Formats: sequence, structure tokens, C-alpha cells
Amino acid sequence: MADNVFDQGLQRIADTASQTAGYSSSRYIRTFSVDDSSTAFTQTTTTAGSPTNFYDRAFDSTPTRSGLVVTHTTTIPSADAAFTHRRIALHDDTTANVTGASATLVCGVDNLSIVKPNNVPFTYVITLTYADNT
Amino acid sequence: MNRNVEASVSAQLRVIAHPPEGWNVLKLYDELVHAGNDPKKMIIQDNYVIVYQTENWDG
Repeated sequence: MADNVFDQGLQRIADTASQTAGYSSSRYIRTFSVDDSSTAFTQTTTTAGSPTNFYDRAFDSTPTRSGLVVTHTTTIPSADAAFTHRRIALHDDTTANVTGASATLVCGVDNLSIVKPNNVPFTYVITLTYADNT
Repeated sequence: MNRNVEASVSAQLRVIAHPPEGWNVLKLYDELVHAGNDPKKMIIQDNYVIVYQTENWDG
């Protein structure tokens, strides 16, 4: 199991923090996804690829920050995404623009095997921890 | 400016299952195991079940 913040995601974080030429007011971490692909994420992954099942959803509320930890929460309703969740990810675009093929990945966790029944709501909580390594 | 910037970002995950109307937490746990989830990774709380969390969970 690997939890990654991809190069593309780090670029988005840098663009947003410094409002570089690549900055866009609509491009920030705002969508969650889950899929059933067994393909591992790598540092240079940009898209989810072509999983058989791909489901994306907006966060329940605005993410929160405490110290260096930012928390993102998404609740999947009981009837949605009833398949084996093998990868989860965060994306830097709206749900309307996020697909398996969109180059919107910021970070993700792979090699999971979480089975969501079709009558049970699941809440996913993803934190990004920014660490000062000095 | 001569101070090096040494920073990193890491992602962590926790998955929580909520009991549907009329279920208690033990029935939810049994259903999740029956569906194929790994009981070794599950934690029963008072009114929900943690299905999975990364080892470095710090949320």
C-alpha cells in the first residue's frame, strides 16, 4: 500500500500558494474519487486511467486545517459506489470535470480492498500532512 | 536567503461505515465482514465501524 502526493499535485499546491502563471482560481483540491483499479499509483501518475468502476464526489464541507494537517471528508451515500474500493484519490477540479481520464490527480492511496455494500453509507476521511523536515 | 526549505506532504486515509436505519453496530460489523472486508483491519466504535485506516493515520 502506498500513499502518494503526486508530482502533479505538488505542482498544483505550489501554483496555488504562489499564484504562478499556472494558477487558476477553480483548480484546487475539491473532489474525492474511489475506483476499483489494481494499478499502483506512482509519483508521476496524472490520471486514474480506465478503471471498471470510477466514482467521484465533492467533499461534505470545506476542508479544515489544524496545524500542518488538512482534513478532507466525503460521505458516499448507501446506494452509491457499491464495489470493491481499491484506490482512493483527491483531485484539483470540479466533479463535473473529474473522470477516470482527467489529469486532475493530486494524491491517492492504492492497493486497498474495501468492500462497500449497497446499503451502507461510508465516510472517507483523507488528511494531507505538511511536514517541516528541517 | 540562505535557509533551505525542506518540506514534504503525505496522505493518510480512514474509512468509516455507518449503520443503516434499524441496525446496531454489531450487525454492521457482521455485514461488512460477510461482504469481504478484513476483520483484522476493522475497529468497532460506539456507533460506527472503522473499516480501514492507514498505518500512519494521524487525523
